[in-house]
Amino acid sequence: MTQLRACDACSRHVFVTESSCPFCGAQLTAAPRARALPIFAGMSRAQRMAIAAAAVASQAAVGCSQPPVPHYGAPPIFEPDAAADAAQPDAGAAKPDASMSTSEPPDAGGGAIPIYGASPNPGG
Amino acid sequence: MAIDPLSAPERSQLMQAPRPRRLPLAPNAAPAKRSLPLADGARDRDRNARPIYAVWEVTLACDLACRHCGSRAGHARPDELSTAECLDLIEQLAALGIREVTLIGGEAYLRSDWLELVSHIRKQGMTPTMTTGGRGLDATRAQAAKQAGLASVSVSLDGLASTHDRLRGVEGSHAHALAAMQHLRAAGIPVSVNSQVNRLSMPELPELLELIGGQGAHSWQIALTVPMGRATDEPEVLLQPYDLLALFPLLGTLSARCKALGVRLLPGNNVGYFGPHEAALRGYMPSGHGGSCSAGQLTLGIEADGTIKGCPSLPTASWSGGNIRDATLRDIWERAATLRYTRDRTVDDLWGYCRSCYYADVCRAGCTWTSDVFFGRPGNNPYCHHRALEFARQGKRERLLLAELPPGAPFDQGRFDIVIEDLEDSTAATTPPERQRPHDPTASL
Repeated sequence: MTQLRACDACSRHVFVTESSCPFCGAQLTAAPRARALPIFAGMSRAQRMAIAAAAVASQAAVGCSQPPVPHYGAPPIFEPDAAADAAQPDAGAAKPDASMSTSEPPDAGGGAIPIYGASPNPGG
Repeated sequence: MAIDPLSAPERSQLMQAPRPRRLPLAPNAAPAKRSLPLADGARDRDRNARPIYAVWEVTLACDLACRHCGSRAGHARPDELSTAECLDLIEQLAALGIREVTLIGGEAYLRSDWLELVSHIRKQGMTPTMTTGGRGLDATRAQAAKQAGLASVSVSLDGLASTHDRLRGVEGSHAHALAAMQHLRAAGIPVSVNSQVNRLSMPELPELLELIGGQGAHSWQIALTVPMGRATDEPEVLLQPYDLLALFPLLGTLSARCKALGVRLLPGNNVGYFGPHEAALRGYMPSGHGGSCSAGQLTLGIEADGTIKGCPSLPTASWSGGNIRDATLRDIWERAATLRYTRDRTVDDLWGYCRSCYYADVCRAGCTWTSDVFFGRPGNNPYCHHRALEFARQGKRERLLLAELPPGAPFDQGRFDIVIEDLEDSTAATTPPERQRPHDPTASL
């Protein structure tokens, strides 16, 4: 799979094989290690695990795609799965508004995959 | 750089422009195409690809009349699936590996059995969500939806009140949308917002975000309005590719504001691609940047008559893979040529600027739908920040010119030409496309 990295100088994505940025000319240091899975404010550990699962599944399946967001409709679903019960909350995770929390237990074996659609439980 | 692509007179004129009446407002949909051919068997890549997200138009009936509606919704299709057929399809969705099903329309709640569908999706272990204009989503419906297990709802807000009402085609629809959000939250259903970005809504995005944050939305999804259905009837509302030069810095600013407000900004697949704000806008993705189109790889779309597509937005006429009344969902998913498209697409399938783009191998022209509705074929996507920047670097810009009007059916499309001109040449850009006499396929009817 082709890999891109962000240029430190101009923030443009460039191929990891580049020695200098084709957009701003900045010298690029040796390619960094594979990027850690994203830590996005508001995501719980379970949510990030779900993203990882989706990424692994999609890359294994098709080799090039990744969780998308659609042209219209609702934002990604990040639903806690069983693993969330044991997960420590993220220090920076946004707490769900009281009116947004659900009293229902997570779907059995829900194994939430974040693609698109609306998020029932943003804080996990 | 100014964030309003329109001058004050242009904005005033466009806001007051009457709805185009060349075509019927809500045309009756034709019956579904049936018995489409499927390949003899499935390949490994088809068996390995499994959708995890489905968007389902459960009815084409609608209580709004949005002037950008791609499906020209209004009346139910003549051959919409029965309740029993829907329940069976839900079980097939679960069996295929779908995790989340988003109900859309038309307006999903206008289908009398919509809560039965929500409940059955839940029972099958999937997450039911919904996207709505919210006009009729009152407290009673919201409470019933909560009881049925609806997990989250995305409400459409396309700007501040006057702009939203103008785009949605119904006076008061902005107030209805806000009321729907309040009813949903009161019922205990999390809400998000989705917004169309076009020349009317673009300068209002900062104020819209403040409104959304104040309404308790957890996420904000934005998508560029593209010329499908009624949106093609008013091409002057659409962004021009060079408008992205101002839009993306604005989105970068809004991304930071979203974090401060606790609202997740989620650019849709057609908000493209790979400019200097890519990391800010899509840094949450596994690779830290966007990828390509997932139609037929991770997602599928369903129309109310049982038509299956790789993406709900794709034009029906050319992207139907089959009908659930003729074949199983699995067979259509694995064996329909149109659903295989992105599984098989390579750089050699790209054309125009995208063919030789630096990001071609990663992006593959991004959103299939956007490219297809502009030019009648996928593989060359003009809604791209990187592309606009590259043209600007050469003192040029691309302008899209409507060359052929749409015939006036649900999910129909016209055809656009690309004009490359000097970046500072604003004279041509202000010439309304309809004055340039696009071909009208309905003129001889």
